[in-house]
Amino acid sequence: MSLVVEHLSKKFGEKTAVEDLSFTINEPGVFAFLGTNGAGKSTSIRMILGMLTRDSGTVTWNGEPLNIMKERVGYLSEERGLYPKYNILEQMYYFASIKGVKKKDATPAIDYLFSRLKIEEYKKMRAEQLSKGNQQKVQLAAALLCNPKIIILDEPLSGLDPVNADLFKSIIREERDNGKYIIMSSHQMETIEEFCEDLVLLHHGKVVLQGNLNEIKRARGRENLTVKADKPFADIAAACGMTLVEETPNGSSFKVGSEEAAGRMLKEMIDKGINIIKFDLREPSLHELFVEKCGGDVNEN
Amino acid sequence: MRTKGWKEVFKFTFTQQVKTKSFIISTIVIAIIVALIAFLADFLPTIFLQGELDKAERAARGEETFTVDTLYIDNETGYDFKFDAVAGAANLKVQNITADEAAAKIGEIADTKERVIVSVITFEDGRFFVDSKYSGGEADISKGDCESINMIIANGVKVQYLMSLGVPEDQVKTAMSDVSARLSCAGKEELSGIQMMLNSVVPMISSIILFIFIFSYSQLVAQSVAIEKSSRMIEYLLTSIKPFAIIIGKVLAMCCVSLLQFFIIGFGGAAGFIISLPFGIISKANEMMSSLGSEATEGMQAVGIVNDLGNAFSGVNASVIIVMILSFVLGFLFFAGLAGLAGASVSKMEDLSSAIQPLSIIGVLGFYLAYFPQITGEDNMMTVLARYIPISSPFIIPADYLLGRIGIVETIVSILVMLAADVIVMMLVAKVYEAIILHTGNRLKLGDMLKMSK
Repeated sequence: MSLVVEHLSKKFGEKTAVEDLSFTINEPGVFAFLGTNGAGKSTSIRMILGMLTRDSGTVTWNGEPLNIMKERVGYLSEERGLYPKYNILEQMYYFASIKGVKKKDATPAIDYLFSRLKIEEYKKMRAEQLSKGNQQKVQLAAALLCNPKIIILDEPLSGLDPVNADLFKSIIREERDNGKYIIMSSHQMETIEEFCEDLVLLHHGKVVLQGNLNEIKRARGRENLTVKADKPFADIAAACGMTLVEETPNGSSFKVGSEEAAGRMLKEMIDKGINIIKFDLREPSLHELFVEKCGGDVNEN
Repeated sequence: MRTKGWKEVFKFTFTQQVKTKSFIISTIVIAIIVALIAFLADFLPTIFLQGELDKAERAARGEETFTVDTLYIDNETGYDFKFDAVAGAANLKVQNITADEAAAKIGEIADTKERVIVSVITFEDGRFFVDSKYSGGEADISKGDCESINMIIANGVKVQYLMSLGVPEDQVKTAMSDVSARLSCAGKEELSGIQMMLNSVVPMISSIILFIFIFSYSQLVAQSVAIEKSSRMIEYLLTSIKPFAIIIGKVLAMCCVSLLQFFIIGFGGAAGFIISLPFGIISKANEMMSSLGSEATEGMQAVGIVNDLGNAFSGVNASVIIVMILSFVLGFLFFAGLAGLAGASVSKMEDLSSAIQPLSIIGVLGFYLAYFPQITGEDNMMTVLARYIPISSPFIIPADYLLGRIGIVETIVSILVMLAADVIVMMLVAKVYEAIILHTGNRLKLGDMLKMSK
């Protein structure tokens, strides 16, 4: 089974919201769908789900156009909501019914999800009586209620405390292990790195980075160096062609020209008797890739 | 299927709406008030009209008694009139007196507890005069009774004068009876005062009730759509269901909720009326009519009122109820469909009232188009227009059909026009609602909505 998105485009008036977006998810797992605010992520998700008409492009599931009326899709939107005045359990049964799940089948699913999310005691309360975090849990339960094969999670962890963020992560992991196709959008890059192998990064509606995260990093090589020592070493770094990025209490960060240059710098420092506390040469993080592709230099005016 | 899932939306919206405190409380309170009104409308007249009924019954049986004990008559006409018949009809004592005695008696009864009338009958210039004085002071005497007795004396004078001229008794009766004079427009049924009043009041009340129900529930549709949009629920719903199915389910659910409330309130009224039956004016009048039979006269005004009321509502049959429900449902679909669009045009609840304002103006205009012609009760160009314009026809057709102002053909044409308008509104809703439901930001104006739906 595979989810294939090809050449999706959308314009609002003269403004291009999404331009020629294509990606494929060939196997179960978590696919990262990243972008800056206003990059076109939500518009793309709405087009994938068929809520928004596409100017062009196709979305297929198992070779057939994706029809969310037939194929159960779980969706946790970025802008979440529940009916504030209505009973939570009744809302869950309603969500189940519009997904085509009968009450007798919905009941055990609701029981399991509410127990898993630790919100059993809120079933009979009105949504407005719940905290934002607990409302978010109810919404995740609603998204997973119909046991969907495809799950789209738009910023699932935003606004959660660390305990509940871990709870959400464990559930996402559980769904992934159950063979679900999950598209996750998040601004928490550590979480994305924790879950995702493949990604697409949007900027102003265009794809600026795409592919397997490990391969992207490997292709870039180990180009980030953080060094901390007991004596100044700026002249050595300059001599070895290092570009200083920033200095923090944790050390100085450099962009290295090559791994060989980094090795030369290490040797020079040892030869000059500098006591090295930290010498960390690594691949770029997703955060760095994201900022590089979308952010430009934040220090620029 | 664009409408797949509407039943689920319908079921949820309906059950949630009927479970709201506002629905339960308002329905119960209004039903109780309507039941009380229906009960009192039948029961209260027994208090105010009981005297009239009793009097009419006694009069019909010849058992009427008056609050007058003695009638003194000073006959100055020179004719030998007898007033024994007055004594018999009014159960009082009649005593002939002289002019001096009459003058003295009038002086005496100015301040007395005696229940007395002094009548002086004269004949001048070819005309009879009956000049009567009744007791003043603390005498428990009814002016109405005195007037009745005075009329009996006057009629007695006239009858006896004619008989003294040798006119046979049956011809005297004919001469004395009222000439029934009626005036009516050719081709139109003559209506009694009560029926004329009902012809004005029923359409006005019906217009008001229909307007309140249609409009208040249309606003609930707008509110419900706006809540779904502002709370971002709509995004979740759209993963399983098409926008048109959502709005159709919602509109039909609200329509049924309003009909349910309407019928509960109606049943409240019917219950109040049924409870009142053993004590009410209608059953009393009916009892009296059946016991008196042919003795019931046209003069029994109270019975006449009850009969007129009964006749006015005797036209309520199955076809009227069907027309009423059809007008209500079609009117509701029209306004609720537009209200749904108004609700979808906003992203924040605080913008809803301004979004609904244009629809409110249209609704109020339609209501007044239907309401004002009812005041005159006459058909004019405005009335005819109001029957075929979809913004006003739902408020006017049921009452017009009930009262027989329009026939079945005009009613069907009006309903078909409403249906056509609903189809157009629903097509507009289907096109525009889908285009704007995910819009966030400032409130959309009509031009924006149409532009987005292209």
